[in-house]
Amino acid sequence: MLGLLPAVIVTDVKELARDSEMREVRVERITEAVAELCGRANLEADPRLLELVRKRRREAKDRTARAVLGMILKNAAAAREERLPLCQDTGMVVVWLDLGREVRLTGGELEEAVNEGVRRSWRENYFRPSVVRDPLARGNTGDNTPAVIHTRIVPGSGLRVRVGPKGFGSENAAAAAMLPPGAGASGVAKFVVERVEAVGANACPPLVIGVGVGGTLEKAALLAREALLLPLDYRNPSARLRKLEKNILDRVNRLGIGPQGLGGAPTALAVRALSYPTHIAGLPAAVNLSCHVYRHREKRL
Amino acid sequence: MVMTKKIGSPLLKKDAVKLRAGDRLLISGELLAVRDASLRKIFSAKSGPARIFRGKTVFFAGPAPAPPGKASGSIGPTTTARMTEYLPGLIRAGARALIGKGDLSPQAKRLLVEASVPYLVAVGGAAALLARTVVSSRIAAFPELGPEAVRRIRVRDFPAFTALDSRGGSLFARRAGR
Repeated sequence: MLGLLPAVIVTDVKELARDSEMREVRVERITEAVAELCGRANLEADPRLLELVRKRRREAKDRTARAVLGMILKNAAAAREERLPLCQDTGMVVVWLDLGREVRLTGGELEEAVNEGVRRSWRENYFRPSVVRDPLARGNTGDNTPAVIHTRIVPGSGLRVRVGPKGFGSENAAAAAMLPPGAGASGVAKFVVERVEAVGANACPPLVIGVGVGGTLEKAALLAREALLLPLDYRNPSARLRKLEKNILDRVNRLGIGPQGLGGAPTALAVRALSYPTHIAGLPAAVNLSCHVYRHREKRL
Repeated sequence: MVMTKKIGSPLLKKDAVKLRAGDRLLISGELLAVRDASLRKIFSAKSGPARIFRGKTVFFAGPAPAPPGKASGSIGPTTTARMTEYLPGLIRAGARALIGKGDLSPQAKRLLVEASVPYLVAVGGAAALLARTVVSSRIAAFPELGPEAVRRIRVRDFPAFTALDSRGGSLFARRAGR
């Protein structure tokens, strides 16, 4: 049957066949990846972040701002030398899994494998257990589990693991709003800048600001969070979003909140925005702040 | 005039009121570390374990566990705004100075200024660097709270900034529109 088809189609079919080859992945490999990525995110500073801090420190006119930025740089070295986490709040772990539909997981359950990775990393690195079992009754779980896990099924046989431990000094500063459909980019920028003005000082500036626009309430929140996984040299492919990012960054840096909220500049190092189609009747917008310990790591299995 | 001041902890009242917004401080001595869960416990009790705060430099913090051979794991300030409801209690109990991070509401600032309790800010997310200044750290109460237990922490040259002084001078006041 295949032999009767034109050559070009046959090629496509062959490629499809290769793509659709089932691949077996033992979940232990996911455990290992999560453990490794949690460890590195909390122990090793993002080199691009340090580069930005160094640059802003050279430009800083304010003595306090310069001193704070200097301590951030020294801390990265201290963490490396002492093998201690950059921040005592080693965060609640958020994990994104892009799971190829041709991957067959064996040897255990996916979510348990992720949580075992968190548990292992916390035990091995003396990270701080910061998760409570019940949001109302509280009670520390003792091993920082569970993680918050977002799994997507994607074409092919790949498997990408992304990890972002998030401290709650910055997570507490996040917010979402259901703006009217005509609010536009200026409405989104106003919402974000006002949020930073109100609570940015508590989120350990200089900040990286994640913005999510569109979708539904929860989609906008997910986009704002996912924007904080982007590398700092990421260039937004959308000119409209690039303009929004720049507008927000310029305005936030005129607020004068400054490093650790002690005045001067910078208040933020970067803004990253992601968008999604939305309903005719609305414009959901969300903002999530990252402290200067910009923690995100990924790995392909 | 901004300058680096070496201060001891606990502070004498006469020294606490001499601190000025913008001072860079190097603190040596004892800090009393508390945070959300321990403060809730202390201030919900009928009798007064709150007397442990008398004259103390209160540090809002919950350190990471100490790896073997180290005096402390990573340690740094947590957000002071979350402790606002406990500020009147801390002042009544005689806390001499507070260390945390982030801005405070105008009411909270007024409360601290009226009580002549300076608010010092340590750099959040510089926790490996701050850990190096810890000489010793031991649990003073509520070990069951894990990272939220009350701790007596001895430090040498622990860096901080005076963010709000007893005369109302404030680094936060330099913000646009304030």
